[in-house]
Amino acid sequence: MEKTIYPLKTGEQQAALREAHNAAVARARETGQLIAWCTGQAPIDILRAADIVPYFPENISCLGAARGMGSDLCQIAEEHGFSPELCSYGRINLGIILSEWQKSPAKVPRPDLLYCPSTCQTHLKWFEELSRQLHVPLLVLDLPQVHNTGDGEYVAAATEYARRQLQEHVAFLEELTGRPLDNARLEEVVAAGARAGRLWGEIIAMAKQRPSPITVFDLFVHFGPLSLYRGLNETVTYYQQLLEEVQERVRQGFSAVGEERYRLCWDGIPAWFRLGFLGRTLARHGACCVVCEQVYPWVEFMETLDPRRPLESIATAQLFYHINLGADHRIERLVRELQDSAVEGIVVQSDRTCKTVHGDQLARMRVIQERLNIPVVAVEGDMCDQRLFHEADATARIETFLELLTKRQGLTV
Amino acid sequence: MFVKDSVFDDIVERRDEWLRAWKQRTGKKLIGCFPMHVPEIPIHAAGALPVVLLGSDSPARTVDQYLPSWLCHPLRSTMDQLLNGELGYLDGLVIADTCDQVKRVADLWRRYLPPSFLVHHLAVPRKVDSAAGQAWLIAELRRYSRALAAFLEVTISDEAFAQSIAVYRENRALLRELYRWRAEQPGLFRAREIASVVAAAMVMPKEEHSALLSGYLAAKKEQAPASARDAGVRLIVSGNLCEELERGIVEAVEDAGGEVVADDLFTGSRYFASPLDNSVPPLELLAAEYTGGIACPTKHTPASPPGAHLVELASATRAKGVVVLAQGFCEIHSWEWPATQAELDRAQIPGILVEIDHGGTPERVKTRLAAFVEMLRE
Repeated sequence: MEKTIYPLKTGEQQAALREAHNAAVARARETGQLIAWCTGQAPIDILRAADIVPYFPENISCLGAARGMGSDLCQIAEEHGFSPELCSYGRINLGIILSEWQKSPAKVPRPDLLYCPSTCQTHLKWFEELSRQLHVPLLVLDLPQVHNTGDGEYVAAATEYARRQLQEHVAFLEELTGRPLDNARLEEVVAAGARAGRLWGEIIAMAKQRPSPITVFDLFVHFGPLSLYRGLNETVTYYQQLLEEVQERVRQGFSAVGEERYRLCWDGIPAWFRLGFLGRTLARHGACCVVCEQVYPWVEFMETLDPRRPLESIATAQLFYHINLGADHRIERLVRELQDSAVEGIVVQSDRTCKTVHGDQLARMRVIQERLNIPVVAVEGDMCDQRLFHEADATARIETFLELLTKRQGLTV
Repeated sequence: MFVKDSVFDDIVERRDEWLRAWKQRTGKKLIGCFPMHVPEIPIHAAGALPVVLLGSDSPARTVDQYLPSWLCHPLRSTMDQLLNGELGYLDGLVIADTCDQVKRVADLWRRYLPPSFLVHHLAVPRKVDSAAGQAWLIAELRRYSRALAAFLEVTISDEAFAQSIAVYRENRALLRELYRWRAEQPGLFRAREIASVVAAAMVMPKEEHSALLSGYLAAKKEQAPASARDAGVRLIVSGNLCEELERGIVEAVEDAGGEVVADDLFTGSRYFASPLDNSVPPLELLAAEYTGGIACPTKHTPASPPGAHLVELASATRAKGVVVLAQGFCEIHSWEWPATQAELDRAQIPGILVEIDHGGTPERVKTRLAAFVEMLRE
């Protein structure tokens, strides 16, 4: 097949980060260091400062899906009474446990603790079930939805609620580990998170170049360390290298998709098991996805971190994580990104089992479509459940959409 | 299509018409309360009528252009009604952030409503057993009361609160009396009529509902025991959150020889579970209404595992089994089904899960219910 995607070489460094993490997990089991299962944006900063190893079951679910095990593991959970409408990350994770840990894409350590913000209620219900099944404590950071980001009094009160809970979590961890939190380490971790966030912002801003040196599918591949290895200096180094590589592409006038014919927005969590397929399908036609709401919010999420006021800044970052914000703010933000990046069309992957992120997606896209007069195409799919994604249908919809864009371009010449 | 047995059925079925007429007669404002957990007492104390939005059975006309098919029916149905202008007789909406589907989809509704329409979001906490959560909840309830007062251009005095609390306490006492009697003599009642009584309470002024309910209870006393039928197998009906009970299901339970002796339904005991302890200040009373009550999967309650309340209820009402009604696409409830089943198994209480999707009660469901009841007889 014609090579239409050009992986960034920095990606090879992820192996080292992964090996270091796996070594940390193995060491933890040997030395009695605690392991906490966390959701993707949980405040792992305080876990690292408590010398607890964060581990991300969602990542293992993605790995399972990428290795073609997703649907089988989902079915194990379904046989135990978990509805097929439930988040496929959760079903795969439960499938691993309910197979008595026999079926898994990787060796998964059992947790000593669970940590979960309430931003995604499915995360909370999933982790409640884990707590019951694995008999381990669950720490919950309850985050009120910020419907109106302009309501200063509400935001201040919600931040204080979040900060107060973080203090309680610190006290709990100190009791659990039998030692005080390492505040110096907390400041280091928070500072490293902020630096990685700033670098991520500089990297994704390169997609505004015409032609873009990167696609959103590159960003999906390189997003992992932001979540999995957040707070580590090695992660900062990774993103420094990645930025340099992307900047070099810009200097060379490199186009990620060869002849860039269409600049698009991708909306929705992609089918992790078909990332390459999706990237190639678009790139083959010179379509470059340059904006994605699953990508840019991590800049603010991490830039907000401030080592001078660790808990308060973690509280603010958590509250202002994009899916915790009201539709008005999210729509305005996306409109700005679309305009700044000269986007002419939006491809939506509508993930049935992630109702939290995708339930209001079509309604929001409708507002944006009307506001900016840019067309939208929806592809049905799922993050990890292969049974819900149909390649032929997705390809047909995308190709028909690109034909429409071609006609629109002709009309504006 | 159900048989109209009572004035309660009539009000519930014709509620839009009834409420329009009531509004015209009284000149008062109507504030819609999207299920669940919207405190009604502040609305009542502010001189308006809280109206719980029970959705619609009519096929969706417009919402398919905005929402996918795989979101819950109450949410889709209410949004369809809003988009079609069917709820234009309301003056405002209050939505509690009970679940992700609601808090995100309802966040868009303001765009489709006139600027004069109140839309208030109440960010209820997930945690119900923490001091920080309680402080947050009180602050939210205060913000809510202030928003209502500002919108309705009134001051909600302590006296107004106290009066409204008294009205609600009286109504709940009558509803509890109805439920106590039903548990003792289920043969005197039909599950659908009980659901209509509660649904009517949700859409009409409590004062008027209390008067009707008192009359209904008095009339029942006169009819009993002549109207009693042989009680069947004692059962609890659980679940069916956020929406009116689909009467076909409980009719199928009763036709199969089951007798509903208790429930934890939305148009059921959930609605009046809180005793409204008026020895505490109003905001604390409202907070307790949220943090207490019947266990709800939208709240984080590690001390009370799923199904524990059903085990207690079964013991208290001598129920032999539990029928759990599972709302289609309600992920929050469905996360708890396996744990609920396990809890019932541990207590050796047979349970059956029936998925409902507003398509009526299919034959296979009736067959399953019949088999379940038959098994319990043995």
